[in-house]
Amino acid sequence: MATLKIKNLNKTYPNGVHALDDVNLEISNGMFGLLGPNGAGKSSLMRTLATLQDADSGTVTLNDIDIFKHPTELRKVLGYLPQEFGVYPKVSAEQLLDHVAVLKGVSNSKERKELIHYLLNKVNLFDKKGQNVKGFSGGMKQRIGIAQALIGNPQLIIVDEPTAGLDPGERNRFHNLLADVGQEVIIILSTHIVDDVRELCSNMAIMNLGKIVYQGSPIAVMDELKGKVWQKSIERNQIEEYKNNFKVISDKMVAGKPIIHVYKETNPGDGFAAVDPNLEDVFFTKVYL
Amino acid sequence: MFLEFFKREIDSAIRKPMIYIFFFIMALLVFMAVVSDNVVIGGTVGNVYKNAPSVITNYVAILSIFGLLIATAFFNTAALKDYDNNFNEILFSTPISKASYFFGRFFGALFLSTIPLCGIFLGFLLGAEYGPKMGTISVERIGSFHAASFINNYLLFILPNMFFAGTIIFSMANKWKSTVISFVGALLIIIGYIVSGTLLSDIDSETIGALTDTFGIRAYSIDTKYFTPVEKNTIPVGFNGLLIINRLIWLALGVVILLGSYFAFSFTAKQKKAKKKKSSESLETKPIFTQSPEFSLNHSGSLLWKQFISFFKVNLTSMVKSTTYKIMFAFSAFILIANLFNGFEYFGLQSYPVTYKMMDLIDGTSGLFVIIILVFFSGELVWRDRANHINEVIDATPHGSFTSLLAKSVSLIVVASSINLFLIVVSICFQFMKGYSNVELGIYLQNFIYNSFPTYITWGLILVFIQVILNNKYMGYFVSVLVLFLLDILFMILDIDSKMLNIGSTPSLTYSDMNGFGAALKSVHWFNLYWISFGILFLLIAGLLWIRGTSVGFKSRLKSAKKHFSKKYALGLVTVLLVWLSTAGFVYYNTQVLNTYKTADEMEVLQAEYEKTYKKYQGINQPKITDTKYHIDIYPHQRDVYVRAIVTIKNKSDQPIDSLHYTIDDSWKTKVHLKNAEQVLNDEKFGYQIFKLNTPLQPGKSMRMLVESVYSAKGFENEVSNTSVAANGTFFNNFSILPNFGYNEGYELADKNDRKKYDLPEKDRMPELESNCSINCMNNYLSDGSADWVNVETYISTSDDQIAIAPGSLVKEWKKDGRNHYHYKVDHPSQNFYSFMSARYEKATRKWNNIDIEVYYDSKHPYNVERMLNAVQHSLEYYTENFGPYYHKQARIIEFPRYASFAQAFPGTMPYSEAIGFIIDLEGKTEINIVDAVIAHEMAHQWWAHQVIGSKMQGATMFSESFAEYSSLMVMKKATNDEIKMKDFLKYDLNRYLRGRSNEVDKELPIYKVENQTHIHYGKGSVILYALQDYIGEDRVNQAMKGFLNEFKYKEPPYPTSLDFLRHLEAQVPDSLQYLITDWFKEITLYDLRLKEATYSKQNNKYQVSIDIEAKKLRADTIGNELEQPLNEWIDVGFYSMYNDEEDARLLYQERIKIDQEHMTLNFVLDSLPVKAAIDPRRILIERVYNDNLKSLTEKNGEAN
Repeated sequence: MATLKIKNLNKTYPNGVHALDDVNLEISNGMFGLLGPNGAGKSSLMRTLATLQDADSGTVTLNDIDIFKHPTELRKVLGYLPQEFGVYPKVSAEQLLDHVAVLKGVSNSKERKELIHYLLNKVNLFDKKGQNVKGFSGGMKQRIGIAQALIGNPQLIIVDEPTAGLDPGERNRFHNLLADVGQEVIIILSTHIVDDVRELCSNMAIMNLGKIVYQGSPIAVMDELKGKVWQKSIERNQIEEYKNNFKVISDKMVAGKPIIHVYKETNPGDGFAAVDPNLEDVFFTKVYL
Repeated sequence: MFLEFFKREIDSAIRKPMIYIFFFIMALLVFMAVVSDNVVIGGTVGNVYKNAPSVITNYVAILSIFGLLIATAFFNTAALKDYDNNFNEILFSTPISKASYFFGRFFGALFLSTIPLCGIFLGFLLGAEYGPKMGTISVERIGSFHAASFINNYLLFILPNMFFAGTIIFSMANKWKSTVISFVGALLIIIGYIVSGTLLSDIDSETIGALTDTFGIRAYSIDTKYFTPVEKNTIPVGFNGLLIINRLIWLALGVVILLGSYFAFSFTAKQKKAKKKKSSESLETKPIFTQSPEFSLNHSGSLLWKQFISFFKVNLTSMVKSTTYKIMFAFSAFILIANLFNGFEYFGLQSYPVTYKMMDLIDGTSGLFVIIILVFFSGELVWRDRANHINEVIDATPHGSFTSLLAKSVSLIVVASSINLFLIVVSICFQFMKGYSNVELGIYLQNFIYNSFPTYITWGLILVFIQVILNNKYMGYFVSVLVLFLLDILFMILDIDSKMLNIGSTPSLTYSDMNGFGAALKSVHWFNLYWISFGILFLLIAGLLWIRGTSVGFKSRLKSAKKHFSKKYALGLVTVLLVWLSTAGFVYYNTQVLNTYKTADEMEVLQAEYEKTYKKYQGINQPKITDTKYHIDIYPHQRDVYVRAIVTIKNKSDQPIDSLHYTIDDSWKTKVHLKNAEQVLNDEKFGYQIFKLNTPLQPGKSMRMLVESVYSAKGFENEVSNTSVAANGTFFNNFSILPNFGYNEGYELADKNDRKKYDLPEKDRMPELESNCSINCMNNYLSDGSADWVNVETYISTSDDQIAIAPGSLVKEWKKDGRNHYHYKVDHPSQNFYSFMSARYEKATRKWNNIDIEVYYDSKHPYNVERMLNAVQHSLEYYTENFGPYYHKQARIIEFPRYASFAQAFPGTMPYSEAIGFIIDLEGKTEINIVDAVIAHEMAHQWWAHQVIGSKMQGATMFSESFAEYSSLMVMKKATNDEIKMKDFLKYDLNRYLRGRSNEVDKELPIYKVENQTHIHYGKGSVILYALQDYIGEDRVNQAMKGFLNEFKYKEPPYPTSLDFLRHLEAQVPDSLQYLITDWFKEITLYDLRLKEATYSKQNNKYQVSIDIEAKKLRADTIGNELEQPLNEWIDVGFYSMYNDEEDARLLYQERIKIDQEHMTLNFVLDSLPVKAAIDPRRILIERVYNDNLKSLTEKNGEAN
């Protein structure tokens, strides 16, 4: 049972942005979702956990590894898929994975080959192992990305915004892959897409402006909102008026007309209907209200 | 519309700083060159004005090569701006005209790229104005400006050069839409320029070289190669000569390229070609995995190696697959091959492709390309992960940063080496192709491993360090280039010679077939270790400061460094640091403490001080050497020489001498031992010593002195200071081992401007010629008063594998203590000028009239030995018959290593460099050639210089060097018996004279007052003597020389002057030709002959030929002003029966005609029809432009009129 403990983590960039503001988290085996809008500090946190960035203060330990003092020790048990995953030109999928495998310490070449074939097979790219990765589609590239992150039995896997820009099919495939990795390791999935978390994670945190605004299970948080979310279809020019009078969680267009969700302990009446809160409601509630 | 695009181009450029920066750089560069003598652009200016029209043109032409980079920037921007900004689709959907768009941008860019080059003009104007005011140059060195200089240079160089370059760059940019390709275009132009330069090496192909030069530089230099200083100062470049033809050719080519590009240009965006997908159906069946395979993780030492290899492979593949690498690879091979096929020309002959020539070419060719590769890829590799956005993945793996950086460096080094090694393969193939089978692969590899490879390693490490530390790719490039090139210049300015400070520099390594890599090798090894450990040290530091992840700022880099600074790392760092420090200490001890050297500036100061302190002793009465007995022990392998010389000196004056003065050279430790004398001065700084004799040396009396002299090599040096003592090929002369008697004028600063700097008075190159000299003719110019004719005996020993040679007959040879001993004795008192040599020699001998002809040569160079014996014999035959007896019993040619490439005549011996003659390919060459000529020249010195020598004043070298060169020509003439062939030899001498006078730094004097200048005594001397024998007959010239020789040979002083020879000559010249002595010897006379018209008509099977000629005789003053002289000349007119080129020309008829008018029409009746008529057909007169002396005959259609 691995545990990642993040204590009082702070980071302020030279331009004054407070990217991490006293972040405290404790994460253990299983898939952990980190949800937040763009610019919430998710990537800063991910990079810090991946030893690619310094924190101003605070500690992070994985089991007994202090990742700031012994970054190399952490890297030995780390799988990381960054937000921006590029590849070398003119290098085939197999060559790329081979290179990363050596760097991660899989030194026996026969074992390495078997491992890479296994992973390529798992991400369903075995047929394309000889092709240049540069020419792959976004989804295929992300699958190579997850394959390289899985090399070397990592105990901590960090995937940063992996599904941005993928079509629904690719996204599903990707989710299946992550789910397959099993429950024996810590997987931190950072995303701004609520569905990713809903579909995959048993535990989650919501981050905004460098702060953790919520930590818990998705089910629990939705229970918290139960009976407090109301929905109504309105005219476009009424949005401002409703925003002034109600705690509007979200407004979105359905068939050309705005539908608003509002938060209220009791039924506001006035044509509002009760609705089962979804994770999106949670997200908006935590972030904007 | 055209104007709109034109203006748009300019508008956008003038709002950016680039154009001003370039303009400023150009102006500054030229300004510096004008106001300072230390900044030189393409060669020194000499004594023409700093702002002379020829200087302006040279600067403009040379800087337009650099202007190419500016042009690339502007034309590339013009072509790609709209694409780069993705504006093209918007723009091209508007109704603009293609022509306006295309040409508007082109000419806009053209105009822009000429602007920075106009900075040159500003530099000249400011330099001329402020140079004298700042006091860095004197006002006499500034001339007046000519408007034509600016306008013509703009129209003839700046505009056409930018235009042509622009057409190529603009077309390539339009076609491929890539900045890299545009720079490749610029590179192509430069390479074309270099290749065309290889055509210029022989004067026969220089016209082609001039026309194929893209920049017109060579066309201009050939047009003006014989310009006198006055012409350089006054004549602006004009629209004429080869230059205008060259300009028109390239302009036309440019227009063709531009139009081609215009028609290929289209607004419709080209569809990117979809690459055919490779069907990579793998044959492997898809494995079925149920669970993850077993594998083990390993973080031990062996993994480091595997990680290193993996990084290395990834880096190497990326470089090898890149276009840049392929281009560099192809270009370097291309240039090498072009150079190889151009061959190793030496006066119209080819030398064998010996290994060292190939290695010099490889090193020369690979140099620039390797530097480009190292700089370019160091940036690419360091930024590769980040550029491809894979850095975070790689950085998050548990590898050491040093491993990754080291892999980058090593792959850089391997890629650089691949070019060098490939060039070696090409060279070896070439050697085989040429049938040269002595392929020395080992030598190639050694040269690579000692020389290039360590340099690549050092730079491979340092450049990666620079990129990592600066953490900005372009800053990194900038600093890399600065460090690579500017450091040299900086150290030159700061007068720092130590190679320990100039990154990557090592002592120069010269491979000689005789002496291998020589004494420098040891030093090079130590410097290599020093620089490589330095490089590794810095890479280790870079490994710590390498940014893992996305941290910014130096602080966080230090923080990260601390985290990664493990004990092991510290141990490595300290070890390397210790290795570097101890190497540095050792190198410092050897190059700065054990062996010292003086920098150029230190030397200058010393020279100036020496003159100021001791000039007062110049010319004081000193005894002269009459006999010397040398005991010399050479230890070639230790590079030690021990000399003991017993020197007999005699007071030849009529005054008693009470003290002896010496100047001692500091590279040899020389000690003088005198009995009954007291040392009263020992100035160690200048090596000046004075001994006071207890009893003065009376006139006519002699005394003996013992001189001990030692050269002993210690450790290793910053640069090998003494190549004359070598493991195989020792060659030194008596001047190095004996002290110099009295004050040595030879140490004085010679350069006019240097002297001014140290407040020294102006100095004549030579004392003035005197017609009635008494005291001033007591010294000859060679031994300068130290001796007249001396007896020499030598006991010399060397190691048992070598032969030691001293002058004179070998009296005895024996072996003792495992060493070879020899005793030589000179048979006739001779000049005090002797060489001592030792090497592993082969020996070829021949006896001719009781004279032993001997060639001592290296076993690798047997090719021409037989010919050399012949050449010596032919020379002896001609000279003994025409001039008089040879007084030695042997004539030796002795090979020495190529640290110098000359042949030199000592009494009875002629050291001859391995670089000339011995390796010239004479296979199948039956006719006489330069190898024979050089030997004939040196043999002639046995008479001219060694039997008769001039007093130390103007004109002295005429009857050593001019006579030797003339004698050599006569030996050639006798052997070839072909006047046209002789023209081939003469053209080298004529060219040497005309070019030499064009570069005259002071003033030109007629030959009878020559001041030891090679272009006059070799060049002009041989040409006029040759012409003279043509005019008055070979016998009469020889008779004059012989008479002169007989009057003075081996005579005690006074020594003869050139006037003594002219006295003998006048007696041999008929009255009708006496004017030649004045014109040719006592004045500077040039001819300007032209053939205007040549026609013929056929009458009764005979040909009536009529030619119109134009003739001028010009007298030049010392700075080249020419004055026309009245004509009353005898000049040849001739007709060729065949003339395809100079080689196969055949003279059908020639006649010497009296020419007394500027324009004359001459008529001849010939039996057969000639193809060409010529005035001075054998080119024996001194004339600058010869092309207009020839004309093809045309039939006269007189009847029709």
